[in-house]
Amino acid sequence: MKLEKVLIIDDSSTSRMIIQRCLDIAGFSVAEYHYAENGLDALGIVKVKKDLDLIITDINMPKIDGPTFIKVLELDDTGKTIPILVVSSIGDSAMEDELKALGVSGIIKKPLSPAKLIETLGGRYE
Amino acid sequence: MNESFEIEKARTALLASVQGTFAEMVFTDVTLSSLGEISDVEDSCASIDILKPLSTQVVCLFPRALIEKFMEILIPDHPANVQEKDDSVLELLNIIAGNFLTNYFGHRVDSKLQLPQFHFGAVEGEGVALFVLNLDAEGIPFRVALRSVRYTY
Repeated sequence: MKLEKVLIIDDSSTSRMIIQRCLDIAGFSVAEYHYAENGLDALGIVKVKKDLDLIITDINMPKIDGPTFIKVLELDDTGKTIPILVVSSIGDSAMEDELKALGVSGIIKKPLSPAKLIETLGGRYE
Repeated sequence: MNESFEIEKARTALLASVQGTFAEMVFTDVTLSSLGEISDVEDSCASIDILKPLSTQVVCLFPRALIEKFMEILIPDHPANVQEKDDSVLELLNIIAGNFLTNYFGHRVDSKLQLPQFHFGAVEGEGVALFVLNLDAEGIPFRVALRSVRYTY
């Protein structure tokens, strides 16, 4: 499963590395990883890297949180075509409904695993 | 605790989970160790509560040297701060618990886990230690245990 550019958004650098590790183990061959600590920084990256294949984001982050980032991205013609996967510890069904309504490609509740990534994303990138 | 709970199967599942998680996430080999106590006062003790399908708690005791090793592998480009070190312990424990459930029940397990948390001092309170794994991560001893705890939610 080849991907050119993936953006990982999480305020924890450890979480970003673990998400990357899970993608690698799951068999996603990613040419370029990009990272952001929050939604605000991520919006800047999306503007520059217009051809992202996938965005993986946390929910709770400083400056701009995950749901707000997704809402802003939906208003952007380029951004709204990028598949978004949400990875979070939050098990809030109302939040999940909101994210689904925003059109996210998948929601994974931690703990993250390569198997969960394949199950959620595998069909899209075969 | 479910009456059909199998201790030996759980021990095997938790050991495989720790070994797999360490190998995949921090490229570190883990073996069972004959070493006994590890008593470094600066060890990090953390736990995660599994509410469903088992009512249990996974507890880990990681020495500082092991956490430094995580950091060298996960974040090699800068000296890790306290938050990053704490995050690494909690993230790995979360994954260990998830993999433990998968190893024990299979991929389709319907599970409910609490957020992992740190303990200052030993884990006490209700519950019974089911077993303790004394482990060695390439020369660094550490410990992972499974406790039976009755939760309500």
